[in-house]
Amino acid sequence: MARKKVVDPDGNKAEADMTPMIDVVFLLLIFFMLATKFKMPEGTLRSYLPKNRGESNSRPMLSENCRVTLLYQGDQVVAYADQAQVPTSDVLDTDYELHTGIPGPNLDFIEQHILRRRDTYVALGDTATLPVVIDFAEKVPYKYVIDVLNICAKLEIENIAFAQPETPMD
Amino acid sequence: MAKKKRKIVLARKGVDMDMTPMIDIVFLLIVFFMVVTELTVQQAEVILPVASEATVEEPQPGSRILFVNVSFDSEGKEIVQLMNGPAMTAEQLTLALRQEAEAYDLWEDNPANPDPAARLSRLEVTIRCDQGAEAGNIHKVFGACQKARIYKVRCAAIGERFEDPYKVE
Repeated sequence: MARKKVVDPDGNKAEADMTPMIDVVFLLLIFFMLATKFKMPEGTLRSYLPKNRGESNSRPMLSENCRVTLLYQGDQVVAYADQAQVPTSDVLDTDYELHTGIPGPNLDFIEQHILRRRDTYVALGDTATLPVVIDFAEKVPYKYVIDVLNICAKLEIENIAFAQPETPMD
Repeated sequence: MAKKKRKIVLARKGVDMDMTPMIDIVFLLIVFFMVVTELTVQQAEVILPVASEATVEEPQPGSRILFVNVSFDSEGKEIVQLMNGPAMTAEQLTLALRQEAEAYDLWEDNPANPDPAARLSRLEVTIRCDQGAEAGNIHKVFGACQKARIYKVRCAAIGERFEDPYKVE
């Protein structure tokens, strides 16, 4: 059976009123525009654990290494690159430091120190690249550990260890 | 004079604007914003540290990523969570990671120990730690991962930040 075409007897085209739909569509658009919060994509710094240690603690590094120590004194992070004390940065150059109002250690100093050590490192045994040990106090803000880890990644240092926390004697 | 006449004719006919292209574009915009809008929070709200060397890496084939979030609760106390789960102690986290490793059942041989019980999990753990949280949490999470035989651990960070995360809206 053929479908009957609905034809207006006056010959006018039947038109739907689009105005309410456009109103709703614009409201939806405004809602989603306001609800949208763009996020920066999250990256990662690789920090794989040693494969062959099982549940035991990491073995001590016997070869020459570079040690970056982060201590927490008062509200201030005090850093040492090997035996050299890292000067405090002159400016509050990150959002975290602006928030706390306390400058952190000078990261350029740490970078230059590790770079010097890396370039003068003589490979020994299975440690082809300079091993870097990051030794931090429990209360140091996580940001500073990531800063040092980032420097190591920038300098293509793969052999990084986090020092074990000291366990108090019974 | 001629100009005036023409205007009158147009007014009688009625000028119809074709709305179709505009509606098309508006629909496309709606679809775009619907897709990018995060109406539900997938992960704990964490202010990640900035690290220029942070890279966006997909999980390796045959692997899965678990997120361990270290953030602050409403009272400003640090909490450690596995994905969006409850706050956990180091022991609970170890247990939970062990259970996840068993549940996913993705193993690879341990180069140092051929014993099947010493196999390593192919799961990956990403630590999403607030930049102001105590770094001691790293020891907790690393220790838990090591005990759960998960060695692929990453620290989350963002490449750069354009707005102040501490700004009160």
